[in-house]
Amino acid sequence: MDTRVLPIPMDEATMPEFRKRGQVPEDVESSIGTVLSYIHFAIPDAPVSSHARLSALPPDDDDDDGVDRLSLLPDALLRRIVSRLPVKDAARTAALSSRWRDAWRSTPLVLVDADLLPAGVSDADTDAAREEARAVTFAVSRVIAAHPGPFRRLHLTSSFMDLYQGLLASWLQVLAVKGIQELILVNRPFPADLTLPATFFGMATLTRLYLGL
Amino acid sequence: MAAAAAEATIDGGGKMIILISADGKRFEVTEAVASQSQLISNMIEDDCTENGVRLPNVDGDILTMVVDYCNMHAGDAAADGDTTKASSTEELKKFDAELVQALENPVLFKLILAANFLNIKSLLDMTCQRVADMMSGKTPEQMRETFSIENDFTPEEEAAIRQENAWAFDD
Repeated sequence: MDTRVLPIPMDEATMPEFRKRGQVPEDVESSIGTVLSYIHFAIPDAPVSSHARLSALPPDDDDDDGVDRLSLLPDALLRRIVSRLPVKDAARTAALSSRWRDAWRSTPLVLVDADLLPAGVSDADTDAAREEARAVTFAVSRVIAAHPGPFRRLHLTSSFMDLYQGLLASWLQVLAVKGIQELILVNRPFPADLTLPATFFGMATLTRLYLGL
Repeated sequence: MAAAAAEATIDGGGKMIILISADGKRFEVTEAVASQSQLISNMIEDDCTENGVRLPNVDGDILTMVVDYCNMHAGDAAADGDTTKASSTEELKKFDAELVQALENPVLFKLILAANFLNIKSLLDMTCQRVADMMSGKTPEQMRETFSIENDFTPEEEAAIRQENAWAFDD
């Protein structure tokens, strides 16, 4: 998986806790990083990717005859295309024209939360990394609230759930209600011992699960 | 089974099928090649390919591309380790990449419709991905421009839609 999300760096307050237990915080941090990289290696690749924009697509100006063949495609094909877009791009299609108004909402949701990370991922600065993870966490909340379901596949690997255990419980509640097929849920340490909320067991439609909390 | 299919492809001894495009062009292909289309595969099973398969909504130039694609990928489905015909994975990747890079409006959309009609999943996935790649990372204005999509919303309607999913428009 090329969009590997790094662990959130340990904050000053946590370090003494490890020292008290006779552990070296830096060692703990690096071994957690290793574990996380194994987890990311094991989970399936993201079904959609926001890397397309980097592939230097040629300008699309050539034999343009002004016919909107894209919008003429049958609904099923529009949905097929929308499901291959990173979530922000997919949701933006609703603003194209009335033909596209409901395309995203009527396409089973595919969400890769790493797509919601701002470009230029910060790595060293703890505060910045936390801020960034917080932004992704809130964005995920907005996406799953905005989409009516069902959810085909959610890759949630970029959130730092430390402060949001209640939020995780409510996410899982939403997934249970709207229907989710495939869930990849990996926390960004820390903590390394996140409790699984009871709503986890409500997801009756789940067919595939990767869990790394 | 895999070996048999590969053999048929190599010596042409497999049963041949004639595909006839909308404009009357005829393409002779092996069953192994043609059956990558789920539609034709079903027809072969039902024994109704005797007099050629008419494809009234696929033009000759598009069918040429489809047949090229299926010829290229026939070895793929048939056998590993067959070095004479089966194209290597790298070769296939290169072929696919070049094919899809070259595709632009309107051929791209004709090919999508043909892949959909013939039910060739890998080709449909590849061509739909191409469209998605052309859309991603763009603002609605840029998407409209790329595909000549006419904005039929009033400014108020559009503003309301953007408001509804403001998180998608914040950069």
